Amino acid sequence: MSEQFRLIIHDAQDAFTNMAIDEAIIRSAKEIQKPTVRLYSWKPEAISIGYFQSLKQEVDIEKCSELGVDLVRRTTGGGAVFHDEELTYSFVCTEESNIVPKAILDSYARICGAVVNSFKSFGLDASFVPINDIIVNGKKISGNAQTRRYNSVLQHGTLLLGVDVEKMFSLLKVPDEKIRDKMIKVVSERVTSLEKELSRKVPFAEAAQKVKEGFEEEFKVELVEEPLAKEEISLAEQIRKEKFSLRDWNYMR
Amino acid sequence: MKLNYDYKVPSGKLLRLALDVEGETINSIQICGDFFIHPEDSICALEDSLKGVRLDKELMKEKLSEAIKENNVELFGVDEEAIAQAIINAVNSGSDE
Repeated sequence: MSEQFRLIIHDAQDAFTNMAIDEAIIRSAKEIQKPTVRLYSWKPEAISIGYFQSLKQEVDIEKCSELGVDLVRRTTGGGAVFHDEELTYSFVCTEESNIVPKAILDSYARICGAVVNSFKSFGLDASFVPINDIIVNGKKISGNAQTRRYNSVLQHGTLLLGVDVEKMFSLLKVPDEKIRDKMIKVVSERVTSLEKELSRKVPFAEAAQKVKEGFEEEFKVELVEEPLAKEEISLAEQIRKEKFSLRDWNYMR
Repeated sequence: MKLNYDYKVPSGKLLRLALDVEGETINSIQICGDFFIHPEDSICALEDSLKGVRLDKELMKEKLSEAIKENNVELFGVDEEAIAQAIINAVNSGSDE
């Protein structure tokens, strides 16, 4: 029998809960004793910003609050992401498990390899582009971000099911307002989605199945669906309350 | 003098500085952007290492390198050269905010 990873599939949840669950999983990684792949989405729509970004600088906060879009700071670096039509994955393993390379850039390549497999099984010519992107036909279809904490690795990332660049830019600030229209055009040309590439809507469940298989292929393991442990659920609730839902955290920079 | 400056790191990420400069010296600096620094909290050590430092590119790079070494920091999409260059550019552009 091959080794097992834990697979957790969640219904859409709010941004603070999503980030809190990812953190609860990495903080529990040692006790859980096997790597976890979690697949999820966001309701309401949300923008997450990278750990080092300034919320005020990146996001039209008023517009987001008008439209009920959640705003959350991630524990991982990288850029602002508008989470709308998307499957998000997170992957957690301990460093001592040696399941991914110690070197951070190499481990991005390994974990993204699983995601690349998923796109390939849709028949798409996907490839990993360091530091943290996956592209199809020269266009970005997945962004990924990693942190190392609690002697463990957490990487989360997106698979774009659909993308609405105009809507995204109505919520994000651009460094230079004078070139907003040009930026929308440029980004539209550089970003794609499963819907665009396949000319059909891809349901979350179908993408989730492909990601499951993508991880199984990459790591030569079996992903077995399980719920979160009780301790993880209560830890996530605590982290949501004491960190991700707080102004102090989200407006830290 | 307070400065805000964006700097695209050559084949890297976007660096967004908020800088407070007094004469030839850095009072304080906030280094924002879509780069990656591990461990993440070490960004404070990098920012602190530049406090009170003269606006000399080599000197700033040296201070950053020391902080990077001391805290076992790894940077992706940004480096000490880019941060120092962005500071120099920010001061030269001198756009008040």
